[in-house]
Amino acid sequence: MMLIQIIGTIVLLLALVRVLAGLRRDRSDTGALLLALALCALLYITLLPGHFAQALALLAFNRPLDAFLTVASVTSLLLCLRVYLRLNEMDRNLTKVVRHLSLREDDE
Amino acid sequence: MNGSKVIAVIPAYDEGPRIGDVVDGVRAQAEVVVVDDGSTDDTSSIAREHGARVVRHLVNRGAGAAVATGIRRALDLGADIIVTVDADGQHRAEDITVVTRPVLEDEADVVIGSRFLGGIDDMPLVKRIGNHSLTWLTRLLYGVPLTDSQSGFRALNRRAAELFELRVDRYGFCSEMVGEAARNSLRLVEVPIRSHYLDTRKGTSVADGVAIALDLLLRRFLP
Repeated sequence: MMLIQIIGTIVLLLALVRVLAGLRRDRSDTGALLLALALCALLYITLLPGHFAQALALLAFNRPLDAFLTVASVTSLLLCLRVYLRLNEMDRNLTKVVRHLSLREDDE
Repeated sequence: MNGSKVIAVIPAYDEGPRIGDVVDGVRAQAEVVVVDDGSTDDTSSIAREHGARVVRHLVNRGAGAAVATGIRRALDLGADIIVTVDADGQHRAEDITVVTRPVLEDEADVVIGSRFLGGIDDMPLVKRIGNHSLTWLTRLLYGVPLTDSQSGFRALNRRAAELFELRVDRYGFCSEMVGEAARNSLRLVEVPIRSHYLDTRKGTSVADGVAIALDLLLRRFLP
């Protein structure tokens, strides 16, 4: 095992332990769950790079960069959707306030 | 109308030049609640002068938000049937009897006045294509056979109004209502109405159409 693999494994394990501890406190935290899955994937890549390359070939990715770009694109899209949904929710809350005020004003 | 209390909800934004005539026409058939959606002109005062009850949003929140506010107020006022009418004068007040009839005769809970069944004058081609596309998407998502999902001329009974959970603030509320009717297993029918496009600058743009489609998809798959 190369030195970079050893350091990477230690760092990833420490991060994973932290995230899992957080997940034990709050099981509904989907962000932490996704982070834990991402860390597990990174750990797999660090520990078994050869096996990872074979798995990529099975999934029709010729280079690791292709897989990285695909995952990055999907993640970016999901993040954009999450931001859009959050903004939508804020918008709806604003509408609720405006509606409440307008109906109260009409009552008076 | 058969002893039922009919209240017309008119969402309006900067419709000062037309709102008076629209209110006059509708008042002959029903009580009128105008929801002024944060207009910058004198829409509110003109609507009041013409005898409408006016609920005013402090800031513009969109047609869907205005309709939802109007429906809430109409329910508070004891409406048995709620009719929504556009403020731009594209609908004919006499068609109120056409859209309310199926509800009055207990044949439907929600009625949509279809401009494509009855006839529409001067609708620009791009809006016509947009309307048909959104109707197709609404049919696909909710499985309800429709010809005009984006018509703002509708009637609904009290039960439907109480069951509806309207969350879309913009124009997507038209399709959202169809979805809510399907979700609550309400009876929905279309009736032919005539419509005349007066102002081609207002209403939904292509960008609005895309936003409506996105709202529809999100509302359908992320309840």
